[in-house]
Amino acid sequence: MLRIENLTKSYKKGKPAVKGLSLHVEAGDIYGFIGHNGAGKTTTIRAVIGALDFEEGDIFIDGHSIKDDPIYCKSVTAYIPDTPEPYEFLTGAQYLAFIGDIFGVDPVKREELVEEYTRRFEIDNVLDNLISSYSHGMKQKLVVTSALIHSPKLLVLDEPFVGLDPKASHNLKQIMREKCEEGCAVFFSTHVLDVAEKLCNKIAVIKNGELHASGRMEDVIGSISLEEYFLEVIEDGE
Amino acid sequence: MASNSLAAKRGVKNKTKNKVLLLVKIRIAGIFAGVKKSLKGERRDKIKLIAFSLLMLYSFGVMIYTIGSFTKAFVEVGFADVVLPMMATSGAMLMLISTVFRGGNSLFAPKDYDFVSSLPLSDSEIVISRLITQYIYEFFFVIIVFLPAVSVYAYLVSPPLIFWILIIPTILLLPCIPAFIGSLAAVIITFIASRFRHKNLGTIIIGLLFVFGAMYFSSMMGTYANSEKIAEMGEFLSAKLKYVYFPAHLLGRGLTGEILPWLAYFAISVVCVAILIFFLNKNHRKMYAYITSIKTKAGRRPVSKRTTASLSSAKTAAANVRRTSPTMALYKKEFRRYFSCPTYVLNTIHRADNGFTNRRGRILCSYGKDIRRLGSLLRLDDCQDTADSVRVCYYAFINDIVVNLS
Repeated sequence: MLRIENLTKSYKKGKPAVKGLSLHVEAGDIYGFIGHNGAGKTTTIRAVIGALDFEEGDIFIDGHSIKDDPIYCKSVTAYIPDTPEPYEFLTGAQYLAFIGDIFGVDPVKREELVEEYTRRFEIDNVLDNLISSYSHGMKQKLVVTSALIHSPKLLVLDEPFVGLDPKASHNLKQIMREKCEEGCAVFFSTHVLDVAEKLCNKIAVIKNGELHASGRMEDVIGSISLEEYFLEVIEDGE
Repeated sequence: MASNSLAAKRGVKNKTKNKVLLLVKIRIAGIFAGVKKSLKGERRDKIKLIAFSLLMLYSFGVMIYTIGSFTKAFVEVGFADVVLPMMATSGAMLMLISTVFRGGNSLFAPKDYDFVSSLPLSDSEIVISRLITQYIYEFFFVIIVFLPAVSVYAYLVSPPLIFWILIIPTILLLPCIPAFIGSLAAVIITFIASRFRHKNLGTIIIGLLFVFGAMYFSSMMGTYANSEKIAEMGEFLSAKLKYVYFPAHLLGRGLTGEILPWLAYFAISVVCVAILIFFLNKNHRKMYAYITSIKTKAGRRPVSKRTTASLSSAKTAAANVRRTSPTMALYKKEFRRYFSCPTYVLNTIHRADNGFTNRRGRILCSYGKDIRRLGSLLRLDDCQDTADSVRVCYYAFINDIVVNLS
């Protein structure tokens, strides 16, 4: 579903933010992407969603190159950023309508999905309020809902559990599992290693812009916990 | 059924929408975000909104009255051919300054860049939506500067048919060239300013240098030796405008019946927009990456929304906090916040300049009490009674403008 091949991104006169990164996320995978601060996780994610140009390599989503066919790639991808910033001057309903219109979602299907996910996240009663009145968690739930209403094949999430209450986190994990069972792929970065260890079947560890390890969870971390593995990886470099 | 009533309530539409228009609608809604928030807020928010709206209406009314009066004065003195190009130039200067200081962020680094980039939209759709939004924003200056002048001019002069055919497309084309020049300047200023650590301060300083430099450059173009003969002022102004803003000279000639200059103005406007779209299409990502990266000792790096300070800078920050008092810390924070936004600085300069200009205008108008004295200064023989005092004041204003231009 997502194939990153030799991704390299440098900023002018600086060391590469990401160098030679390659990984493969298959349909049905919940793929965790972890690394220390400044390792290159957000740069990688921004390149995947098409917000960042890169010098070398390519990214394929559902078999289509992000360079050659960016519109198709973006139409089957849903991106949830670490800091949700939906337009505060819209109501929740207007924001969801905007996303539905941009992605060309059928109105009936859109309505069903909006009702389903807003009820699960318990924000159906605030959809007529301005987003400026929402808390951080409510904004996050709204953005997650907007990501799901166009039935994406690939979910790209940048630290999605930040600001979510325990019930909403549980709901999101459940939705991620359901989506994978339907044949989607989930690729997300997180610092919450506990969640990553329980949720993900595959993992990639990035360190200083380079891929340190990737593959099935049990193959990467072995018999130790993900937290212990991660701390070992970080300490090796210091 | 429940879902149908919910669909109706939620405004779910049943037709494919133009994506560019959707984006433009969102951006325009963003401009009026404060209004919407007040309307949905408490009673005191609504009262504040009404008070603010009345104040804005009054300000616009004064501005429109002033522009209209200027136009009337120009026409009465015999400078009818100069007035529309002059107002077009004034509007263009305002649009240029606005684009220079706003365009860098709104065109190249809007706040919703990542979000919009992740949507299934082509580069053209994204760029065109930003340009249309910028165009609508610039059109505000057309409304307050050019439209009042056109209205008064048309009423007083009774222009030929060609004027009425060309005036609507002229009004619609007015923002194009200033937007192009302003965007170009914004690119250069952003590129230069991003080489410095304090980018926003760099943007302000370089932007002001650009604006003052342009004004100084235009003042170098010819001098007006004889300020006492009003009749020569018209020729001087016309020649001056040709150098300051040549497209205004073309549209002025076009609106008085010369179609070829107007077609040239049209062609220049269209070419400018085409170049801007082409340039932004190719480079908006690079510009965004450049604007949002910072210069460090290790080279450029992107600024993330949640940046973790390095140990050395944390120590420096801690040392700074220990050295200053709470009041000084607050003062420094506000000082840095003021210079972090070019709009704050620009507004301060604009208000100071307005205050100076108004003071000068009031001094001049005080001479209106002695009409004969002012009339003799301007070599006007017919200023004999106080009914002409307003007209003489405007003659004084025009004289003041011309003398300053020279």
